[in-house]
Amino acid sequence: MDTDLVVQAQRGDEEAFASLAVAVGNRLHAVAHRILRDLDLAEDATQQALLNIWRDLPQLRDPARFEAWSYRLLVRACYAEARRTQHWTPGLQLVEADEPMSDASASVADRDQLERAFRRLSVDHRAVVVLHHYLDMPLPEVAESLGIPMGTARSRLHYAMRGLRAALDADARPASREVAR
Amino acid sequence: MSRSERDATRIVRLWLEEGATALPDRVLDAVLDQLPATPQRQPFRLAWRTPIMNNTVRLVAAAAAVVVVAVVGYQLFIAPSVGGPDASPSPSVPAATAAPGDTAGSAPGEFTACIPANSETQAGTDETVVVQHPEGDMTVERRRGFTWAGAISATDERFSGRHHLSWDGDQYTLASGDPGPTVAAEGIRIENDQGAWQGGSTYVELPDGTVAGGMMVLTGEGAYAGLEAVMFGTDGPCFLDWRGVVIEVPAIPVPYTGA
Repeated sequence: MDTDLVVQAQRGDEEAFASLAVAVGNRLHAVAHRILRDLDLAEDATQQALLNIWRDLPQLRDPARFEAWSYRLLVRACYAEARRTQHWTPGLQLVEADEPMSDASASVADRDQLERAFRRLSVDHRAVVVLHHYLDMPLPEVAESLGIPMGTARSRLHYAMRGLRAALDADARPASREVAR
Repeated sequence: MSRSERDATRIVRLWLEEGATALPDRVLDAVLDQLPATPQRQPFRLAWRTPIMNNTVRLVAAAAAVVVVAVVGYQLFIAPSVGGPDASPSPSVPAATAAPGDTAGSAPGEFTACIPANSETQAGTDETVVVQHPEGDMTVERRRGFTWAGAISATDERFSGRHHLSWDGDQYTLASGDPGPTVAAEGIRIENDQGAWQGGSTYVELPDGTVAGGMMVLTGEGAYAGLEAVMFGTDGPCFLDWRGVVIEVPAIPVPYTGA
């Protein structure tokens, strides 16, 4: 990330911020979509997050931390968006893929189970999973990005992954019983 | 059969690869269209510069100026004839001409102080917590233990030396995502060879940019024991600019309840 652009945007330079928004917009949107599991909500959350980033940018002390800091505001926007709307939690709506899944081992049944299990998680838990397993962000960086203690990040990841793994196991069990018959 | 943890993690990672990866242009355009109507929130430290001078504060400042003028006048014109030339110097109130480079036309006892751009000595902690509220949970950026230290120069030499500044603050964001209030507390200690000053203040910044509070009350130590100073942030070229007076601050009176 170009820290000069961040500094210029901190001083109110709208063109510099536009460049920043282009640079991080896709990534923020991708993360929001994976957290909220809804394209419209993700767009709204990303839009709000970008505006909040602009609004709070002068308060960012270390421009080099811009990207990590932006995820914190994005997750906060996701949280607000999730609370604002009622339809995001119940129901099941598979996320539309830009590209087909490359590994056949993640079957449709797996995806269905994961989707259900993931939707049962809070936004806070989803955020940790997405930042760590989608962005490959190390756990200490996840904690710093979200402004939470390292132990909290570890606990949330553990809890979330336990739930997702249990969902996959639940999917696997009927198949095992059928084999046993 | 239970999947291994590694297998489960691999499947979750593959599953997360699915989904949108491009932000539609219309969303980006909408953001950029709204920038001119979205004011930027300034850093916390700017709150020090723009405290509200409400009527109460103006009254206190005016009263303080009257007290300073009266006491200085007493010391200059009456006390010498009463106490004679051997009278011991009182630390209670400074002479208006105490500071070299004093600003011409400033009120007696008035001073300005400047902390130049300096380094943050301790970054402190930054934590986001959720606070329950009947109208929707708020998130709070809870910042603790931010400190600065370095030189401070003042028109009154008694406030020149080395400063230590500490700051804690809570910045609220409403459930809607709109900014909420910021409340903060700060403490300062100014030290030099003669003595020290220590004090602090609290302030609140409302979402519309209104800042209330932030007036520092300092108590003198060492050669400055028995003195008090009141100062507040003001606009200026320094990292922090202050303006204040050395005064005798009355004790806070017990509220009259009619008894």
